[in-house]
Amino acid sequence: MLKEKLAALNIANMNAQQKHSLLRMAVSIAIGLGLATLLILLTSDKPMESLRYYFTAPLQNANYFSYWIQKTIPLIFTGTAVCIMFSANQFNLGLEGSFLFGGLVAAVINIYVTPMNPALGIPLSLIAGALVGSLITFIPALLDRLFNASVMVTSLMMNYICLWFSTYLLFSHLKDPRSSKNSYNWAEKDPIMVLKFGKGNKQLTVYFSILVALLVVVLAWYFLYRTKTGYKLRTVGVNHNFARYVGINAVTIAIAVQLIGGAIGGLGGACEIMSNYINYSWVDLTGFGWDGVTIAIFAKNNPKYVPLAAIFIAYLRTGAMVMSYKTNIQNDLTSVIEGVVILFLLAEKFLSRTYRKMIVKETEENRRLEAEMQKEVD
Amino acid sequence: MDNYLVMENITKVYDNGIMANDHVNFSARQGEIHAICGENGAGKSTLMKMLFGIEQPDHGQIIIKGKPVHLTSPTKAIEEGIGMVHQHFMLVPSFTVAENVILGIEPVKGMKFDMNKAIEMTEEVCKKYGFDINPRARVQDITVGVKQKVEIVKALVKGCEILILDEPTAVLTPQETAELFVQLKLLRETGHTIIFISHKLNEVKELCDRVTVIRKGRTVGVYNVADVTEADISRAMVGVDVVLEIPKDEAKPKENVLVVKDLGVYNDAGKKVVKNVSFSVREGEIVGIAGVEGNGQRELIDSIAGLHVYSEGSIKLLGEEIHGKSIKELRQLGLVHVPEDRMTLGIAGSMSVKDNMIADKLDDERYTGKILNKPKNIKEDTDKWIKDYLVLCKNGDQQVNNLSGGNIQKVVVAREFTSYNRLLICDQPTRGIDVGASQFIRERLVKMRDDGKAVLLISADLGEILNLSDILLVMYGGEIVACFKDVKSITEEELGYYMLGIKKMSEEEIGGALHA
Ligand SMILES: Nc1ncnc2c1ncn2[C@@H]1O[C@H](COP(=O)(O)OP(=O)(O)OP(=O)(O)O)[C@@H](O)[C@H]1O
Ligand SMILES: [Mg+2]
Repeated sequence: MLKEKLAALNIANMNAQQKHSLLRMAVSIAIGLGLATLLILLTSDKPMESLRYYFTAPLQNANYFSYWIQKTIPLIFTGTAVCIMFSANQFNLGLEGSFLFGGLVAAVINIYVTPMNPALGIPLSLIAGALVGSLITFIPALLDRLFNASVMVTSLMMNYICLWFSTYLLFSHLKDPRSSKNSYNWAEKDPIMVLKFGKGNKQLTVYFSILVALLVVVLAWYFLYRTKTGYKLRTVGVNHNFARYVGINAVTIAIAVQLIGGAIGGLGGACEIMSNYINYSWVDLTGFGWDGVTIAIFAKNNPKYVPLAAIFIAYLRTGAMVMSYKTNIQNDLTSVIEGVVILFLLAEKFLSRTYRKMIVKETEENRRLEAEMQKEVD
Repeated sequence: MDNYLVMENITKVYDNGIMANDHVNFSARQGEIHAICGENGAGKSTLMKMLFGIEQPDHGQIIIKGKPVHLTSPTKAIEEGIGMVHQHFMLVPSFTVAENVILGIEPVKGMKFDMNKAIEMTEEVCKKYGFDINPRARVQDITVGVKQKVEIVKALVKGCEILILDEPTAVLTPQETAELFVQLKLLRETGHTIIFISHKLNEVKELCDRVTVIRKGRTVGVYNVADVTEADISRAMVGVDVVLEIPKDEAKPKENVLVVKDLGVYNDAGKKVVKNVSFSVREGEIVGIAGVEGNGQRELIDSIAGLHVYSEGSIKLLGEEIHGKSIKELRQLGLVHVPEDRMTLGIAGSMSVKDNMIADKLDDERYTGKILNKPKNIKEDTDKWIKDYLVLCKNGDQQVNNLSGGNIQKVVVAREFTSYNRLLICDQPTRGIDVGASQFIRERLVKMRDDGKAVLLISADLGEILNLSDILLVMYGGEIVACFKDVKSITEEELGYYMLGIKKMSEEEIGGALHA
């Protein structure tokens, strides 16, 4: 009886911490959005209309809604990949390269295999995308192992090697002679991994890749929090000296983590290509790799929160995109807002005083209850 | 002057909802040495952190010389004449003594740091209070005892009148402790107030004027040390009587478990720090190693535990040479290790108590299946260990970081003692643990011995090492200089001579440490 009550108290206590964490997130976001509103009001010719687009565009019609989902999916992939790598304290920034190469390989397979044999081509391109993606993050890990070269630096360089190599491949081999910048097509009209319904503004696109993305999230969470390797990985992330001392092979773990992260990135790239394109034309880094870091910060390195973070960021980006398209405001507004929100999220002291008040009050209350219970027992 | 230093109705709640201080009252007079005693997690360090401005109280006020003060940072506290020496050293190892001492108040000449002035300032304070320290020595090269003094000088240079010492003697030899006490008494004569935290009640009796006892975040009482016995104090601390000496039977040693032969080890700087060391540890015996820190024990232990590579001689665990074996393989053979440095080696701070306790058991089928873990078994067993080892925490999900120093140590001990083991290496197993819990851990150690385990014990607590060891080795300058087979007959004083390198046994006597 007493035990149960005490257990209940613990939960109540946890809540103060969680409540506050939520509060901080909410206030940070509110500040960001407030700033956005202010900037729009100050700079827009048609402020009311701009605001309406910015805040509600994704819900205005099926087309914008589809765009919102489209923007969410790659963020889920790269966000999850970064969560896993950051959990083990591995700062491999090669995700851009993984994502790009995942897309490239998927494109190649789609050009040469899928038209003849779709049942083979589609799964093959996803798998190959993942494999190549992990190769990209593996190389810096290997260089680190062999020559003690900083992963952060080599993985950054890797991204540009990927970019120039893929651009070369596009123009030397893949490009359709009838086009100035595209590869051969692998589909007639719609990308492979989507179904489209309706027309114009009412066109709704159903993305099958979101299922793949959500599956990856679930697996990643299970992996991190419910498996032996995931456990070891987090231990290495928290204190690698300790990990070594309890007999965990930190080197293997570090390499495994980068392989897994890269694989998820590559898979994301493959899905991106197959959900949105009928030919290959990337000549720039996609930026989704960097976005993964933003998402992981929002999600506190826990895959569980990645979909929520991704959908939120994608919502703002969709709004900003539509707004810039319809009015005179720059699309870059979202970057500013994201930056501001993250700044507040990472500022440890922010709102700490409210938290102190909450926790002190709650603890004193608990003490009082405990004392009363103790009296009952005595 | 009775309102020289008053802490009134101090309440402190940590961010995780732990109430570390609950309306604590504490006061100290000018020119007294005032002890604070209490179990692990009682809230001693917390109270002192508030006095030094590291933490802020949620209620209550602090009065210094009759004037209420708000100590919002250590800088403010220093301005009010408060200095603190922390439970864990806070020195920069690669800096010289003088550089460490003036850190934060660096003298400058023009735009440049004035090294000569720094040395001068350090020397001046050393001379004034009778400290014998070389200001030019690098902190990484000096002994723990000297480091402790540097910490104190560091506070004195900033003009502190109230000096807080949080478990200063935990790492010192009896001689070093004695030396420290002389100095502290000198400081008392010059009107300094010293607040002294220690789990060693004999020290409190010897050194202090008054003692404030704290239990579970509340003040139990303030006593004149002259009016109370050690037993009185410990009773006030825990509420029950405690035994100080662990009863144990004669050891019945059997087969060799660990055999170290002609071992030579170089440290990271390439200096030979373990020279020609040979000894063995058998099933059912406790072999103790005494010595002043920095005489090769660290490297010796690290080599045996697989953390450090040795270059000469051999180490055999259950007949297998351990050179080149991974720590995982050693642990599978039955090696467990309670490391001295619990903060960097012993725990993963931001993980839970539960996670820390099973960190070395991840390949055990009871806790992990082919793919998924078995959370139910993990919780069941860790909950039991938390109870068994008296770890004071809310539940197994609490972050280890948030426990008190002693309770962190209990988590480490619990993890290691509950793993498969044939050889237990215990490096300062009870450092920073209160009397009650120390007694418990020592009893466990003796019980493990009786169950036929081999135990290698390293401890700076001479009482402990004399009480527990069946065979006692002393290390000095990287060598074994003494091997006592009849531990009961040694006095702390005699042991001290060997530890300081004043005496050395014959080759033959020392050779007795190795059982073929
Ligand atoms: N930074 C922190 N965050 C949360 N809780 C903490 C923190 N530091 C200490 N605590 C908790 O406050 C209580 C008092 O801890 P404190 O370190 O003051 O104990 P102590 O009396 O110094 O013990 P010891 O003798 O073990 O050093 C403990 O229950 C501990 O878990
Ligand atoms: Mg303490």
